[in-house]
Amino acid sequence: MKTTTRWLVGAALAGALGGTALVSCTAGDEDRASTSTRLAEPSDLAGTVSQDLLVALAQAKNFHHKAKVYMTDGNLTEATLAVRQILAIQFPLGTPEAEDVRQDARALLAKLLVAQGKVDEAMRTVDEGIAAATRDSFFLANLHTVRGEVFEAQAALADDGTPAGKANAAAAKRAAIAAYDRSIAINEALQKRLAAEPK
Amino acid sequence: MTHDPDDDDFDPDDPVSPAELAHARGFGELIDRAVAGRGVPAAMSADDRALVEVATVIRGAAGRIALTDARAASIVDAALLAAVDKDRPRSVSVPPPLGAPSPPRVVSIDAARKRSLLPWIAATVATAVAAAAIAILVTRPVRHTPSASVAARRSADQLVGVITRDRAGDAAARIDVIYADRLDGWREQGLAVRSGGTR
Repeated sequence: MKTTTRWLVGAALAGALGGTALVSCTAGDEDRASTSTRLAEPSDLAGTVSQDLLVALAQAKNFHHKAKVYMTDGNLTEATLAVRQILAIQFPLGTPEAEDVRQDARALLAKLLVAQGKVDEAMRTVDEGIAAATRDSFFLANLHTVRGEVFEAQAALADDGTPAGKANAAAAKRAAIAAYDRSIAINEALQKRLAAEPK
Repeated sequence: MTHDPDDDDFDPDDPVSPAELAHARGFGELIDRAVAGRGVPAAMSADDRALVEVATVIRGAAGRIALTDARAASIVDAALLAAVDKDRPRSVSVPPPLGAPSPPRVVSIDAARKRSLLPWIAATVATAVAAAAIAILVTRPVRHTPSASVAARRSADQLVGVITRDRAGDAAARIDVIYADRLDGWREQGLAVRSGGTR
């Protein structure tokens, strides 16, 4: 190989070296830039998803779908049992999903109980859920909505044509309206709060 | 007719024949060319060549030949190499005859060896550094930028929005949404951890 050719080969390799080093440095700079602005903050770590949470959510998901199948089959008893099992799922401590999922399950459970004529049990289910709530949420608002439906069901049952029955029915209807109002109020406040939060 | 000096009947006082005169003139021109440094013909009789070389040596001994620097360096190098490498077969050519085109400048073997190795050394170093840069580029820990779902997990309220009354019992659809979102976040966390990221 001629000396000139060797020099050319050397120059080409040196060029490759320079290019690689440049790419490496550039990538490193980008990496440093991204990590300097996106390093995990303590508040971010609170938003991590644990495997236990996923398992709990998957269980709830399966019970809901199991109940749905029973409902489409008209088997409300089995559907109710399936939804009750959701309330027994152990969620990791401090996960907000636990409250949301249980409230949603109670709302469905109450509707199932009403459909089976178990209005008082439905009301208990809803009231327990509302009492256990630690914060306002769309799920809590939904629970109030279902509570209003339970009150409507109570009103329908109470109205037996007698004056007392009519009075009880009227009272239940007023309670239903109050529950709906409460639901609306929660929803409005929550929507405003979410709209004000940075995206 | 020419006179051969080896003949018995040769007489130096014999008159010169036209052929001898023509030969003498041609040889004179040949000597003139050699002395003037204009080279000698490639095809020449052995007698003439021997006479030309003798004439050249006589003229050189008289100190009237001015050698070029390159020519002088070539002759000196050849003589030195011959003296140093007495036991080794000669690979260095003897300087060409006077009048031939000047050969390229002669470089000593050590210098030539160093010069021929230099590009390879440069190429080897460049390749080694390039390989190291590539290795660093490939093996460096990639900091995975956490996505929004991981860095700031969206609440279930943000995921499902307001629950309308006609969808109050559609908990199965809502749990699907929540589960899918959390599963996505969990996978992103796993990818970030596996790639040596911040989590």
